[in-house]
Amino acid sequence: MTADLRRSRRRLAVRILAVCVVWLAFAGYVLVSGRHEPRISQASPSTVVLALELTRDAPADAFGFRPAQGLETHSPARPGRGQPEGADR
Amino acid sequence: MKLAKLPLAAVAAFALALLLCPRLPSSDQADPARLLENALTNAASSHPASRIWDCVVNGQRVVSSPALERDRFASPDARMARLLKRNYAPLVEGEDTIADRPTWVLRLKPHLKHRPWRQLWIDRESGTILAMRDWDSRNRLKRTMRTSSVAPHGVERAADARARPHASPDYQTDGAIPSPRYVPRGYELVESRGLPSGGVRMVFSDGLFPITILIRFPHGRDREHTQGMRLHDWGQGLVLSMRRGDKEVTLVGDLPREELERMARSLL
Repeated sequence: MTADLRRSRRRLAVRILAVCVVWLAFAGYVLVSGRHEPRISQASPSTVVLALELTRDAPADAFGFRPAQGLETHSPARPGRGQPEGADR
Repeated sequence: MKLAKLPLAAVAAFALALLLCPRLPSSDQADPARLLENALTNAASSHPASRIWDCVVNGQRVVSSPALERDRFASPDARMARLLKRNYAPLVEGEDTIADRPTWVLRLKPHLKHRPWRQLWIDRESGTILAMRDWDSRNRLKRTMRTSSVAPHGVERAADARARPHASPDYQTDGAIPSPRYVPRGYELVESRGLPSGGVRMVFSDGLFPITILIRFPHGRDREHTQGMRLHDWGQGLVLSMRRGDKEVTLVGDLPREELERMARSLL
């Protein structure tokens, strides 16, 4: 009886260890693979203006939505023009 | 021993039956291709609706106040619809309710990896788009639209009925306009025009998302700027500027940097 209990406990411990090892391997893979992705810096206000100007006149998509729709209210010179983050939630 | 294996065999048999049995068509099941076709067809019709837009610019959310839009201001283009169908696969994700109306949730999944994609909430009754979410090529939410209220059909307030500026597709091509030697798969030139300043602007599209290219020939003080490449993320995609000699190429698009860089290099 005691031997059975010991054996089952050992099996449980081995299972938990195996799950931990798999999770650690996965986390390591995610960390290492993410490290290779170069960071891209945010655009300056003048670059945002250029991107907005170029996007504004672009033709509408297949549904008739314009690429800059929703961005009209944005002004890089006055970033607070739209509602603050979370205002609609 | 045999009895112990019985539940295992039953589970295996059930799983096999689930895999092998033909799926019975359900009356509630929506056909994604037909849903997409309906959404494309109904995009041309106008239903006054109050919509809220929410966009990410440089890591900050820009939320527009609810505004009554009569339609999407531009009539859909058959060429864009063809590009969309070629580059995206429609998938029904489920059901939802937007502005008290039952909708189907449709995902437009790109055939290629690392491409932006879109979710649509399509009105079950009329087939019109009531909400959408645009995800960028790195699976970050970049733009959303949500209808807060839909006006009854046929009702249109004169003050809100803005004239629709008909955006005729501009496919004019000039012999002097350079064409890139490399174009990302799925994209096609949909507009190109010369600018009064002497530059050129081109727009490529995959049916949903554009790549806009500006070619300039800076002179004077601008010419003294350093040569090389500049790359920035503005929240709606990347802005890449590359310069060689008197020619400067700027690309705005939501694609991996390697693809944009290759396209820019093919223009220099």
